[in-house]
Amino acid sequence: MADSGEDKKPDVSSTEHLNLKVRSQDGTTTFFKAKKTTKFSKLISAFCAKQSISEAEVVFMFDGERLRGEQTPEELDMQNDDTIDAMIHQVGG
Amino acid sequence: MVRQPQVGRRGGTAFAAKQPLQSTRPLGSVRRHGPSSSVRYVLPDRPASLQQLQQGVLHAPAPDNAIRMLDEANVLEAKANVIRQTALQEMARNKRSGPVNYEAERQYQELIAQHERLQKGQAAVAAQAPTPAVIDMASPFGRDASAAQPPAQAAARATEAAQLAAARLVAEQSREQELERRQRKEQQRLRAKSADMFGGPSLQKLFARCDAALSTSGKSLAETQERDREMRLDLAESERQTLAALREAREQQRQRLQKAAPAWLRPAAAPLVPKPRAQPARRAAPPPPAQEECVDLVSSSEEEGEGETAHQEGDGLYGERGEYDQEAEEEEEAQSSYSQQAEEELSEAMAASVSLSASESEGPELARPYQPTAAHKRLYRQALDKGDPEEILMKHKNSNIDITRRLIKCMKPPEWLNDEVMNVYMGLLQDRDTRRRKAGRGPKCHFFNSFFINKLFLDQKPAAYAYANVRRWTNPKRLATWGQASASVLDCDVIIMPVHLGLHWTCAVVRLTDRELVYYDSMKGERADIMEALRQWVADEFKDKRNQDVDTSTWPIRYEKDIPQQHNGSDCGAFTLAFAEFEGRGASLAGAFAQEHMNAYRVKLTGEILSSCIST
Repeated sequence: MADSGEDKKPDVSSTEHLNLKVRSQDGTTTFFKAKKTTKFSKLISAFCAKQSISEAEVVFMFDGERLRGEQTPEELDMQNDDTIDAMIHQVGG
Repeated sequence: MVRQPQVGRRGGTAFAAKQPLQSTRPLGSVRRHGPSSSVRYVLPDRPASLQQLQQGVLHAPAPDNAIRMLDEANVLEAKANVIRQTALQEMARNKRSGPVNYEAERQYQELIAQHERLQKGQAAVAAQAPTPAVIDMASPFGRDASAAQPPAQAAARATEAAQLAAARLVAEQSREQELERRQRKEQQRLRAKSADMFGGPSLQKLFARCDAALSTSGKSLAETQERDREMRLDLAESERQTLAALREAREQQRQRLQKAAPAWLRPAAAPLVPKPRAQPARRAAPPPPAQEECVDLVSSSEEEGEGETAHQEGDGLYGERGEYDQEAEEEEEAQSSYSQQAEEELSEAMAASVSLSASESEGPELARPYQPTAAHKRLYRQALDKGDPEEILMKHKNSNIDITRRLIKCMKPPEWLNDEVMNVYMGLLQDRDTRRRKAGRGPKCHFFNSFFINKLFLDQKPAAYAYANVRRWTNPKRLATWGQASASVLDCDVIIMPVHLGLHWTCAVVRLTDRELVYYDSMKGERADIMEALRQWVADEFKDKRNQDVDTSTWPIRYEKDIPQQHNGSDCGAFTLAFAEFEGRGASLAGAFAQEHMNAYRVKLTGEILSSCIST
């Protein structure tokens, strides 16, 4: 498993694009095409610009794992058509 | 001012109906203008003479020069008219919809005046060229020099008008941009306001107002607190005296007994001691000056070794309140620079906590769960200090969350806790769980972040169970990143998660080993729908990850009621974290702490987050 993953990386990382979905809490899905090595910050700012929301208002999660701007799809082992969840921050008293 | 309505009316009727400007012009004066220009001017009023005029134009021997100039004048005039009309219409529209714009009004009047000037000019032109009303085929172009002159003037005026109108348009555009900008600003303000509403500052303002009202009504909060503290100190003092007297009396009694009683009776004297001693110890702990007593407590409990935990719980309740009051006062006085007195207090508190932990090591669990250590207090002060709000005070690797000063500020009462704080605490609890397991202590726990229930259930519209949304949350890889020591959550004894109910935090628990689900709400709430979904999730998780059919429908769902309850509108986050922390070490919540300890508890939680360590 690990071997095949490593074998794939060199030819894949530079060329292959991933189709990623960002799902908002209201159920809408935004599609993105990104390189495996593109940092999420790019995707995040594009998404926020499109939804006209501030980046500070949203949390991005992939399978429950918090995403950071400096991470890339490759680091998280993302596959084509994977879904990222955009969640609005929560407060409560 | 007097003319303004007149002009307005005129503009309204003449231009709103999109009639040509010329229709308002007195007849006759225009018609005698140059032939080709009068074709246009007369058009709306005198269709009959149009024919004649056209014929006249067609048949007249027109010198090229005059015709070209006239045409130019006409074209310019037409352009000016179009621009003027659009500008006027726009102005009329803006006047109806927008706020009063004096600048626009002035420009509008100027334009009207310009228009009138143009009319006068045309009248003058007409006067200068006294052409008969009925076209004389030969006349207008026979005197081409005089005929060309007035249109040239008209052309100049028209150009001027066109330029003015263009300037007007530019001004209008900039005004529109300004309006748009203002709208955007307003939107931003509204958004910020709504963020405020949920962020809590508005609530804080409310509290601030309450405080202000309190102070103006003559009883300053500080005064009351001061009096309260003095009373408490007095009480403590008198109790200490009573205690000293009691102890002395007891000592004498003991000596008397020892002297009087035979040797075999002596051990019986011992049970007498702890009982009365429990009382002094309980009273002794109050505010800082009680340090001696606190140390005394340790030594005495070491001697006696009885009723130890009881002492601590008792004195905790009492001593904490005194200490907290001082804390609150300090907060009010100065947040950033604390005085020497505060330093002393800190060192005393440190000494107290050291002695406390020394006695704790023998006890089974933390005796005072809400008690912040001196280090916690220091971290709390530093965090709530004035400083760069975006400064990162703590990074947590597994949960991938950076805690900035802005985020941690929500720990100050009565702010509401945010998801970042909740989730980083879950991450820290997971880290603690790993440490506990290494130390051979149970239960094995898994902590989900606050978004789990959202994805599983709440976020569907309408709320509906959706296992697929969270199926991959529990993959071994994700669990490893999160810091879960087991490869599957089903290996754990307990699964704990905070639940965000719009404005309220609660805590949901799945006890896999005990085959039951528990719901903690600091306000006695019950959410059967969420718990049903969670129960279904357990079954689906067994099916998906283990391919086992587990019937969870028989697992009871308990809404725990004998737990600390919240009596304000801001502490539910802290309660929820406390519930999760207790559940994480299998401790009983009944009577463990109460609302009045929550401010102290917030200090402790802050300290734990910023030091990235929750004690086991």
